[in-house]
Amino acid sequence: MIRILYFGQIAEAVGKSEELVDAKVFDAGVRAYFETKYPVLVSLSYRIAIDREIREELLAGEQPNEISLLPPFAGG
Amino acid sequence: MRFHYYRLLLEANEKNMKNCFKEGPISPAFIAESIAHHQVKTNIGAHQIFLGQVRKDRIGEKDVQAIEYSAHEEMANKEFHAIREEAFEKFDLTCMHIYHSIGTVQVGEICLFVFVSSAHRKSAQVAIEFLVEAIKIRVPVFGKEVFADQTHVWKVNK
Repeated sequence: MIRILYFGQIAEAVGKSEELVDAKVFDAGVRAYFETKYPVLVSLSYRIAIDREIREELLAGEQPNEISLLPPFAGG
Repeated sequence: MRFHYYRLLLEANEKNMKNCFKEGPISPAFIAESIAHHQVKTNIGAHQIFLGQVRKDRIGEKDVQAIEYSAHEEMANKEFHAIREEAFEKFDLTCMHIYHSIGTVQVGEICLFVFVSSAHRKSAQVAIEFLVEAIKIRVPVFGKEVFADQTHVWKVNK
């Protein structure tokens, strides 16, 4: 199972900060999966991090530990 | 064997990674103490300090009262670490400290403290600019701007 982490405005929009999903749910694409499951995400801005590295798609057969949805950064 | 060695190195590196987050605001006393700690480092000739302060922004009809910071802390610390390494490589620095708030910081309080020191002023001056810009753009920190009536908006760095 992959640990999914939601942050800030994204966590607020999907109503949770964490969940577990099976790797096969991403067969049609990572962003596509999240936006089908949570249509509210279509209108929000966010970046995807796979195993703490900003990138959009899984490599063939990849089983990451963690996928994070990161809204716009606001540090400082 | 080789893999094992590589993993040990990796783990050591992660352990060396500092936690740059401080719960709540960064106190002026803490900043003063940090300055005092550098008096023994007599090869230093210049310090540059950047302090980020939570601004009472007026959004619509309401004033921001506080920012609640959250972060992907492991990713953020990894990025702070990478930014530090880059700065040490680019500029001739003696030392460097970065502290960012996590949790609630009221308007007027300090949420970011960046402190660089070098032998001569120029290195510290250019490094501080690089560091602050990199932190704002690259570190996954999120800010909820909270109003007096407890409603909020999400802050986005320009």
